[in-house]
Amino acid sequence: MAALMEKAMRIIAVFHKTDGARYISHLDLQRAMQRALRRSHLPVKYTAGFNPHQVMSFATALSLGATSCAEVVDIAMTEPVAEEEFYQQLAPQLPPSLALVEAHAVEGNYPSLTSLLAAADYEINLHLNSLLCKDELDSKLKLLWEAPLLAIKKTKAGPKEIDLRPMVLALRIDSAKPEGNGTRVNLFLRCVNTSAGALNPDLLISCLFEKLQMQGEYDVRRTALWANQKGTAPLWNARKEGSHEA
Amino acid sequence: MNTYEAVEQLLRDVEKPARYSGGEMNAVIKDPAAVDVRFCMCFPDVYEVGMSHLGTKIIYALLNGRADCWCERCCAPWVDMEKAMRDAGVPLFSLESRTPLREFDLLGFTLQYEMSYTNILNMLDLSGIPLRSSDRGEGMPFVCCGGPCACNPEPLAPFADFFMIGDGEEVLCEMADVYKKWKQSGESRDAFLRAVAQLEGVYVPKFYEPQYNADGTFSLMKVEEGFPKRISRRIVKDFNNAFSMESMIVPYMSIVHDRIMLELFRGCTRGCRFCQAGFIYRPVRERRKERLVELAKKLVDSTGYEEISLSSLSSGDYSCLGDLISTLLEEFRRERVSLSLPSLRIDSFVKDYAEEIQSVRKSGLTFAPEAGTQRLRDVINKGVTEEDLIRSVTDAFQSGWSGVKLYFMIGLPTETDEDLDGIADLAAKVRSAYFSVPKDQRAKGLRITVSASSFVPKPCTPFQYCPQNTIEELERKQRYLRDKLRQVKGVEFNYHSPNLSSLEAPFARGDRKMADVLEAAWRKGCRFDSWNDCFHYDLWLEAFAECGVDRAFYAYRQRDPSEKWPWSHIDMHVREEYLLSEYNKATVARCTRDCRKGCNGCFDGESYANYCRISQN
Repeated sequence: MAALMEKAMRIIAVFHKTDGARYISHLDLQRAMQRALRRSHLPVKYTAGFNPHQVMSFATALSLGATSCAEVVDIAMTEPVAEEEFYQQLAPQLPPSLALVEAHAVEGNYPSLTSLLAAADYEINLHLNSLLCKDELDSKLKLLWEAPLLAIKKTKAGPKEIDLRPMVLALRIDSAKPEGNGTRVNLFLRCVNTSAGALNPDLLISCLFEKLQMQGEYDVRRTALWANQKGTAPLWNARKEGSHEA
Repeated sequence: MNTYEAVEQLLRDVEKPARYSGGEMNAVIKDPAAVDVRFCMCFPDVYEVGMSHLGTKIIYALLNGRADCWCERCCAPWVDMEKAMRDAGVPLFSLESRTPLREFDLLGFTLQYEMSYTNILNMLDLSGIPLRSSDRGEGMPFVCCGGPCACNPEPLAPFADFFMIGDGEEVLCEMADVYKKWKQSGESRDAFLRAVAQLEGVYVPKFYEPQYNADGTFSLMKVEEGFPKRISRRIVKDFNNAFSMESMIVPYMSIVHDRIMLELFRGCTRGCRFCQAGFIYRPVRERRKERLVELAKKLVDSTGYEEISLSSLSSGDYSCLGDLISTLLEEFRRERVSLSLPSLRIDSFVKDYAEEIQSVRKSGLTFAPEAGTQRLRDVINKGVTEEDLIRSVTDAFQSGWSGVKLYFMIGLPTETDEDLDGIADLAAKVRSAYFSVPKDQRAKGLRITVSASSFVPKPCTPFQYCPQNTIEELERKQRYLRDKLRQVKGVEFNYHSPNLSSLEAPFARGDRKMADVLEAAWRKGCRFDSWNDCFHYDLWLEAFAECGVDRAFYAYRQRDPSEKWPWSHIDMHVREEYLLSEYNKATVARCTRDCRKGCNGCFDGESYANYCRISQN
C-alpha cells in the first residue's frame, strides 16, 4: 500500500465482492456503491445535470457468480480527503459482502483505471468429475497449448471464433487432489484485461472442458487487477517500475 | 450438505440469483441462541415485489428492534427456483440465515392481493408444512396472516393459525410477548392459540365455525365459548409517537419501488366508494412535518437512497405538503436526494410541486379520473371534475410533460355505454389541451395512454353489495372502448383480460368454502396467478367445478343488505349502516364530502370515534 500523497481529490478503493454480492450485476454494484458513499457523508463529487450521480468509475466488471478480493473503483471528491479518513468513513457503510480493503489517494490528473488496466489474476477452484493427477493435467494442458485454442466468443457483431492463447498470460495448476469420485483442482490464471479486450475465465474453462472432454463444477475468484501484464504494478501505483513495458 | 450450501448450489443456475442470496445492506443478523422468538416475514410474491412493500419493512424493523426477537424474510421463489428446490429437495429458507421455514416459531404472511393466495400454499408446501392448520402438530411453526385482505379472512381461514387485523405495530409485539410466555410454559399448541385469541385484533379461525343457510348464503358464525364475538381491528392512535422505522434494507438488485418510503399519513379522507384502502385504514392519521423530516434524515443516513417517495393513499392531501417538500429539498440538497409523489390526485396536482419534484418527470404523469362521466364519478364519489383534469393536464403540458397516463375502471356499478363514451371523450379533450398550449411552449411527442382495469367489488366498501360485471360484459365493454378510442388520434389503450379479475371477486367476498377451491387450484399447479405467463385460467375453472363452487354466486349476485357477510365477525370499525347509506347515495349519484371538510359519521360510535381527530372537531 504505497501512499502517493496525504490527501487527494481522487481515491482508488479496493473492495471484496463475495457471498451475497457475488450474484449482483455490475449495475447493481454501482448502485450499492453509490448508496454506501451517500451513507458515508464523504464529500463525493456529483455530475451536473438533471439526474446528478456520483463521479466514480470501476476498473472492470466481474462476471456474475464470480467472487473477488480485488475489485477496484475510482471515486472523485469535491475536497481533498485522506486515505485513512476515506477508509474510516466508507468501511462501516459497506455490507460484509462488499468489504472495503484499502484506499489509495491519487492526484487529480492520475490516469483513469480503464486506461491503466492490463491484466487480471484469478483463482479457479474446480471439481472435475474424473480422477486425474497433477502430472496428467499438466501434460494435457501443455499438449493443448501447441495448437490454437479456438473458442466462440459472443461479440456485438455476433459470434466470433478466437484463439484464447494470446489472452492467457499464465495458467498454472497449483494442486490436484482426489475428492469423492473426482478431482479437486486449484488453478491460477493471469489473463489480459484491457478496455479493448478481456478474457472471461468462464469462456476459458468451458473451452478447456470441451477440448479435454472433461466435466465439473468450478468457482472463480478474482485476486488481483494489474496495470501491467507482469503483475507488478497495482492500479493505484501504475508508475511503479516495469509498469509500462511493451 | 446443509441448507446454506445446498442453496448456493442452486443459485448457479437460476434466473436472478440475487432474489435468494440475501446479505443486503441493513439486513439483520442475530444469534439464534440469543432470541426467544424467531419470526419469518413471508411475502407471497417475488423478491422485487416483496421488498417494495412498506408494511414488510415496518414489521421487519419493529420486530428486530426487540432484543428477544429475530425477524427474517422470505419471498415466493420464482418458478425456476421452485423447480430447482423441489428437484434437489431443498426446503424453503429465510434470506438472512437460510434457515428452513419449518424451523421458525412463526411465519407471517402479508395479504396484499387475493391472487397471491396460491403462493402462500406453495410456500407452505415448499417448507414441508401442512397446508391446513388442523394438520399442523406440536413443534411446527404457527402460520399467521395480516394485511388489507385480512378484512375478509375466510377464504384463508383453514390455512392460517391466526390472523392479525389492522395496523400491525402494536399487536405484533403483544403477540410476540404471548408467544414467549407460552414457549416458556411448555404448554400445547392449542394453549397458545387460546391465549393469542384473547388479544384485541387477533382472529383464530379454529374457534369460529361458519354456518350456512340452505341456499348457500352465510348465516352466522358459531363462536366457541370464551372467545370474542367480533374481532376488533387494531388502530395505531398516535401516529407521531408510534413505532416508525428509521432504517430499512437496501436490496442489491433493482426492485419495483427502489426508494425510501416516507409514510406521510395513514388512512384517507376522500371516501371513494370502490376503494377498500379508503375504508379499512380509517381514520386519517398524519405525521407532523418535523417528525417526517427527522425520519427522512435517519432513513437517508441509514440507507443512502437517492430518492424519497412521499407515500400515502393520497399524498396531495397532506396538510403541509408544500412546506414539507421545500424543507426536504433543502435538507438533502448536498446529497442530491430527490423526492417523488406516487399518488397525486387530479385536483391536488400543483404545478409548483411538480416542477420541484424531478422524479415525477422521469416517469410521466398518471391521472386517475377512474370514470368517464361526471355522473359515474359522482356514483363512485371520486369528487373530481373534467375541469380539474383538463386544468391539471394543461398545467403538465405547459410545464414540459408530453406524456400522460389516464387510469380508468370499467364495470363500475350503474355504468352504461355512455360512460365508456365519456372515457374516449376525456381522452380527446386531453389531446385538445395539449394542442391548446402554444407550440413553442410545449414538449414534442404527445403520448396519451388510457388504461382500463376491471372493477372488483371489495368487502368493507359501499360497493360490497354490487355484482361484478360478467366476463362477457367486461370483454364487450373493452371492445367497445377500444373502438371508440381508435377514433382519437395518438391514444394508446391498455387493458387486460378480465379473467383474472373474475377470480379476484369470489375471493374478495367469498366465505370459507373458497378455501377448497384455492387448494384445488394450487394442487393443479396454479401459482403466481397475477403474472400473465403463470396464470392458468382453465385450471382455475376446473378447480371451481371440482369443488362444486359456483363463481357467479360470489361474484355476480346482487347482495341484499339483509344478507349476513361471511366476514361480519371482523369489525373494521366503519359502521355497516354507513356503508349501506353510501351505497344508497351511489345509486342516485350523490356525493359525500371529503371528511377533512366535516365528519360524515362513519365510525361505530363510542369506542373508536375517539381515534379520529376529525370526528372530534
